[in-house]
Amino acid sequence: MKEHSQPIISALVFIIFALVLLMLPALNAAAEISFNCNLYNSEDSVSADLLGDNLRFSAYAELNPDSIYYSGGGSSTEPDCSYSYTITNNGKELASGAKTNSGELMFQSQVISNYNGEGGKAFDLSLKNLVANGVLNSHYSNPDLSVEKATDLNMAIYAENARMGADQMQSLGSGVTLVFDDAEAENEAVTSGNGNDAAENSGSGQNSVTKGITQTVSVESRGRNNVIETNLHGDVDAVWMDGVMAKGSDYYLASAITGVSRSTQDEMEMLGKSTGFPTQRLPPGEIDLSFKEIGDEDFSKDEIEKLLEDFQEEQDRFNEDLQLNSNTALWYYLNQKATVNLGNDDPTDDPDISLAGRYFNMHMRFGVDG
Amino acid sequence: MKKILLYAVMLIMLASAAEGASDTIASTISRLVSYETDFSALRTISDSSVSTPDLNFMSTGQVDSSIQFSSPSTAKIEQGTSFEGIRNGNFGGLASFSSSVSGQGVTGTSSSITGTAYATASNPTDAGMVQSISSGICMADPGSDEYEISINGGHSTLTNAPIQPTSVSSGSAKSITASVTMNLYPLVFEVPADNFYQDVNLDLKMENDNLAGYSYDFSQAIELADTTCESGMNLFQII
Repeated sequence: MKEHSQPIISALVFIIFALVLLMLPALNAAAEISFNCNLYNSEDSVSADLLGDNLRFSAYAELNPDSIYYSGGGSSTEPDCSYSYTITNNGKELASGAKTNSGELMFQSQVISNYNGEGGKAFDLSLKNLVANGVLNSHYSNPDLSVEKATDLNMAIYAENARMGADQMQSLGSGVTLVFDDAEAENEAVTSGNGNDAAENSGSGQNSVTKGITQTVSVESRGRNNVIETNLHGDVDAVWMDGVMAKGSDYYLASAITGVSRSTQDEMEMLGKSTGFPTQRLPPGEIDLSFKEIGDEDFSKDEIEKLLEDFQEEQDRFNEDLQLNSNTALWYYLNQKATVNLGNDDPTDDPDISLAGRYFNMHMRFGVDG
Repeated sequence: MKKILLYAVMLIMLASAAEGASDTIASTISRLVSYETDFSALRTISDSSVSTPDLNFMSTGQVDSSIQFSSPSTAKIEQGTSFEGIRNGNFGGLASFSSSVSGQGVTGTSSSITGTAYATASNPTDAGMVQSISSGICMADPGSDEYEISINGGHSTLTNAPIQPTSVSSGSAKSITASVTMNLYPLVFEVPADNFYQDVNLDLKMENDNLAGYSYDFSQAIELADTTCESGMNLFQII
């Protein structure tokens, strides 16, 4: 026990916050809530600000001349909800906020300074957000960096959690596209609030509905911005993850997605933007594919032979394609030919894969040494 | 009845034993290292084919890579093509192409790959011979007087194909061709990248009378000031 605590002040503060704790849930019916408090003693100061919609919030605080204990947190009460919360300790600020039209939000914070007279300190904020078939915009920050995420989903679900202190942050999000049976899928496609209709090739089973993932994750630190955008739309199924890890002003931002796309019309893209960098793109280029039956005369053509017959033409083409002003510096030619006896080795069969589609994974990572 | 079944099984076994199996692998690899250069470009062209009594498969390909620097630096470009003709129950083949580019102080890069594969299960050039041919050419603009360039390749063929041509399809055998082109998005840096590395591998697979699919692996790493960006993608298109 603290020998020099002032029980009267402590009790008074406790009562006030106990009242706040009891009253705020009752304000749910009004949909909007706000909260503000400031605590300080000769050593430390703590303040908290909250503005929320469809939110349940509770807080507890104990103030003594040589110690402060504060704990506050909230959670959503309706799928359509939002909040903005800031907690400050001796001038350092942790903040979080989120808004969704189809999800759940939750956050928790604490500030401890010499509580129980043991000299220990704590200052952290953690949060969890979830969205299903809707939109989630979230942000959180500490004194070194701020994270912003915008997630818009159709037939998909995503959850994120983050924990931060004054000089560190860990954030991890993950999502998956949803699979429904035909009836549910058609119903979802019609009633979805994102304006996406059922795929034109409906009737092909559980994957006949257009699914969509649009996500932007942005980290800002010391005036520099790193952004990764992920877009996946169409007859697709995927799981994806994103993460931010920071210690001081060193951090990395990463995203990864893996899945299958069943139509060449599907949109599938990951973009990375960073100060000074050209835009990083995945897929990394364009693919042109053709296939046809041919006659035997086409099969017998010999590209190398043709090339050697007209050296100058190929040299000119090389220079022209690469926009060179000088002549090609070097030619090397390698030719091998072998005739072998018939052998008796048994071959091994390759496994047959018959599920058509584009199976893919994309990943991108920005790392900053602050 | 049991005898009939036994004869049927024996006939099936004999038919299987008569089935030939051939596997040919060939490759061409070219490499260019340029020192104190501000531009470097390499092109590799390959042509490989295998002819056995039961399979003809051919692949041609071209790989282009170029890299630009803000001030003279070291460029490394390595390109590879490989080819595999297969006949074991199925017939077809795999054509693979790759490009790897790296350097310091990079201001721009550009790469493209064009590969074509041809296959047929009929009309071998010589029913009594098993022959594989692999050719490769590389051209380079090293952009400086100091450079190292090499091209090498190899191939092997393993077969127990029957001496006479075999019909592999119940219907008429046909020749097929598939081609794939991959043009990587060019990169232009306003601020030269301290370090740059890019690697891409592209495969084209044919099986029986059809294009089976294509796949690629891509990886890239860029260091610029205090920021690094690593990205990668694998894609496997099954048709």
